[in-house]
Amino acid sequence: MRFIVSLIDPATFVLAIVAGLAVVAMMVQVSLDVVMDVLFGTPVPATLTLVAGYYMPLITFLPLAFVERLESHISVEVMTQFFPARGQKHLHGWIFLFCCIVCGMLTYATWIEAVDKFHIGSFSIERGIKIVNWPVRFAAPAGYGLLCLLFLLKFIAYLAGASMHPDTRNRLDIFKNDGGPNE
Amino acid sequence: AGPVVAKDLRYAVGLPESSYNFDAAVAFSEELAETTDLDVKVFGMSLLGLNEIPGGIRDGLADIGYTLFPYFPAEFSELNLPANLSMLATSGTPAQNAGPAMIGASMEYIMLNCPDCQEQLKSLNTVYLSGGAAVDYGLVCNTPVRSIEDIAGKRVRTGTPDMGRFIEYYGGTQVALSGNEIYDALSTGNVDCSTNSPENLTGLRYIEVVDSITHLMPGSMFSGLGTANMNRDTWAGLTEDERRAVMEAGGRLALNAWEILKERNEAGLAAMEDEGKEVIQISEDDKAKITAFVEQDYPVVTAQFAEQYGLENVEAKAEMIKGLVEKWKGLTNEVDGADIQAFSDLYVQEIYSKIDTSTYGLE
Amino acid sequence: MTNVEIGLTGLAVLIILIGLRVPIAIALFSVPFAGIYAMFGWRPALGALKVIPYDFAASWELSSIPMFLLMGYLAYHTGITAGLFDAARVWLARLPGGLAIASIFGASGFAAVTGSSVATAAAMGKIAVPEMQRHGYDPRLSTGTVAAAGTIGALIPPSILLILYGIIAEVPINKLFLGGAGVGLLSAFAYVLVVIIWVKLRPDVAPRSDESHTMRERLTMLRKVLPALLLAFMVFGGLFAGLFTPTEAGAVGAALCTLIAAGQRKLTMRNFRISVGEAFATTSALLFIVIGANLLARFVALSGVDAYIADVVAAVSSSTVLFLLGIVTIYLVLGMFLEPTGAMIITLPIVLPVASTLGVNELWFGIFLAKILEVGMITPPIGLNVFVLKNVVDRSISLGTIFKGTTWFLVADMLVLVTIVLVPAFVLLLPGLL
Ligand code: NA
Ligand code: NA
Repeated sequence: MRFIVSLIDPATFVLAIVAGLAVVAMMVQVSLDVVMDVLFGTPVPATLTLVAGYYMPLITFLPLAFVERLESHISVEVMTQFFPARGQKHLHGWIFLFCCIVCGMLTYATWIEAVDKFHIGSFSIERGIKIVNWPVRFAAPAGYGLLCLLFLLKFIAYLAGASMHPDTRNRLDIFKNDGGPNE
Repeated sequence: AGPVVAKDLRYAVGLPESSYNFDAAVAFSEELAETTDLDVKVFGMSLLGLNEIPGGIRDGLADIGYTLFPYFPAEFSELNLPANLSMLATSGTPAQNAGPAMIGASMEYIMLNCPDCQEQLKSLNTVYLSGGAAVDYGLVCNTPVRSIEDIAGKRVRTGTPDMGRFIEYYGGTQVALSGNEIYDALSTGNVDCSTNSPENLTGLRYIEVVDSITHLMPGSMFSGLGTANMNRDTWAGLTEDERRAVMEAGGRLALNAWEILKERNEAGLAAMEDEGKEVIQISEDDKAKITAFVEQDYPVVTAQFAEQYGLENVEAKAEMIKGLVEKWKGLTNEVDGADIQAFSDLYVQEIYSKIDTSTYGLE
Repeated sequence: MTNVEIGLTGLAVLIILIGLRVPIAIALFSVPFAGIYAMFGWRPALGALKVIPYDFAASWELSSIPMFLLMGYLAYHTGITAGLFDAARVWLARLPGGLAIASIFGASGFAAVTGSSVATAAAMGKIAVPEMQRHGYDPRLSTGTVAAAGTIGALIPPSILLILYGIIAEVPINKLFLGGAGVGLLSAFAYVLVVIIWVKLRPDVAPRSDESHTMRERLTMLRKVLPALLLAFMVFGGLFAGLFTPTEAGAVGAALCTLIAAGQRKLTMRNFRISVGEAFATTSALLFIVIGANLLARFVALSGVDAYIADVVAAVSSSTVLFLLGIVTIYLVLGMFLEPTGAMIITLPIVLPVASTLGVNELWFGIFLAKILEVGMITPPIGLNVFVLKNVVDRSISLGTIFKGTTWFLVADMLVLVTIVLVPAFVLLLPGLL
């Protein structure tokens, strides 16, 4: 399992890096926009469009697999804790298949839409500036698709009797916090 | 033929139920309930948001919807051209009823004279049945604009590109804000003005946070509307009589919306005066300056549509729209402003009667 | 099956899926998809997945979430907030549950900047909960306090929820804002009481510091608070001066936080990187759920379940009191599943006419509604504030612990609701001065 996950972790890492860059770019651009506007009356062009049409989809969709690798997608453990351990394990395993199917649907749907927008060449216009926005459409199938793959791998791991929670130190750790504030 | 079963249709407005567009949609539904077996259920914001409506119509989440073309510059690039030229209707040759004139011109252009528009609509699995116009835009301000020169140095939020260029032409700064933010931005002084219909003073409650409205500056309108865009499969499933009924009801929907808006605009201005806030009327001098702006803006629009929107034969298309606007100014100037039926008859006579409901939106 | 039956079945299936430990977002996506398929077929069902997630995410307003999260994480990791809590500890040492009370005030301040309770809960969760943990507070107290205090975010202006109500119900928004401020402060006060009573009854949940501090120490501590105060002053000041909008405030706040930390030489590549990572991971996990909840709201509207429930209530509400009881019931049930704006959009058109027929004051009703809808943010199974906290706090704290922690605050919320029914002046007094 460690081996299989190591196959898709690089992709997870790359998508997470892009999402991280989007967060920083958003902070810098919006702040610059405010400063330029207040000081010189010349806001940074296309800020609203870039934030809504670029940064937000990147931040929303790209880290989905990263979040699952940290096991931070939220679920409720109220009822199942009373199930016997074996039952819990099987339930857990088959839920991975269910998750994989749902994410597969999402990947398929958003992929069709992204291809459609690519053919249309969709763009938006802010203050006379044309900003092509179809490329970001592919963030949705990329994020859902990788998550779908990860769920599939976890399901295979369950069938094979391997650990479904491989936790290896790897490059994803650069975004992980392992302590309190470092004063 | 099988037994007559009422067909349930879903109309997505994408705006709150307090909006005049919702009222007009309800009237549309009532008319069809009387004249056909179609049962149209009207949804406010609960079914689809404005930015989801074309996709929702394409895939049949809604059967009919209220579509704002400028939200989708690429998807509706062809239909955005008349929308971007709507200042032709409010400048130059005087129009008594600029709204119905622009609706007529847009519909005649899109439905009868623009094969590229129809091609685009088909690719979105959509049939266009009627236009629309939100009219009489003015400057809603927390620091008054008494003449066109006062625009210089002001920070203004605009809803359409043509008004944005107008503001910049006279030395103001266009500020990009989402619709939800305008109230707060006017309230904190983050923007000085916003271009809106007087209706928004009460409808969106801007009256609470502004000091003045400069009525009819620039007096332009928002006409990039398909008020009854329909899913093609739903359209194909209707009988020819039903298609004709829906189409003509669509035209009246656009007119009803315009009429309700006119009333609410009056009420908005009256409310401003009641509150002791300033209603500034535009001078003849400034009207001439707006016309001058529109004349120099025309080549800007055509260039933008050729270069950025990627349209072909833009010059010819724009000239045709210009001609249709003149034609419709003439036709609608003959009608008394309150006579919705007379406008509706004009639409039937000049446009809808020329549509073949056995082929339109089907092939 | 009729559409209403499909809708009700869908909600039942949703509860089962969540109970079986299916990730909440996955459960929220699967039910509307299957439900729309059952009602209208394949193309609309797929269409909902094609259109709604992307268009929902591509939003300028939502951008305040990652930005406020980034600000919160930066403030935490660079130690800016630790100073604040050291000072609170020293100054409030004698007060039972002093840190929890300080976080309620902190959340109220934050609420005045953000329009949403999720953003408030996210930022305060990162700032306040770890500090309370460090001082030995029971996790139920620390997280319950912050989850509940977050709900103040949509009551104290600016508030997206109240703007929406004002437009739909045609009620002056500035009056709604003043009414919201009144109830927001009343809620904050009620939460403070909950903390004090809780700690009085069970002193072990918030160990009282036995340190004693000289005045000199206290004044020294005050210096450590300066960076946090500077940050708050600039964010609030800029907002009220009209230099930026509430949405922009998050980004400006994060940038200022970075600059302040850099000025104090506390900014490192490592803590910046981790803050960014936590900001995008939390945003993504949260929006995954919010988008699913949004999809569910469309399914509820399409199936007509909303109108069905309202009809049932309208049938039994012959008097204003019964009506209000019915409203509380509906919204507590809807609030279990839907986020406030979704719930408001789908139900207001049905509920509002009944309210005005019964002569309920519309301004008062808006605040009442906002308050109940915000209660839904901390009720199981879908409590967005609780989810966001689960994501920002130490992972050893379970979702169940946080929900348990909110219980007493829910009781306080119910009392606040009763109070504003009995004494409408809490809502109407401030707007009346306008
Ligand atoms: Na707020
Ligand atoms: Na809830």
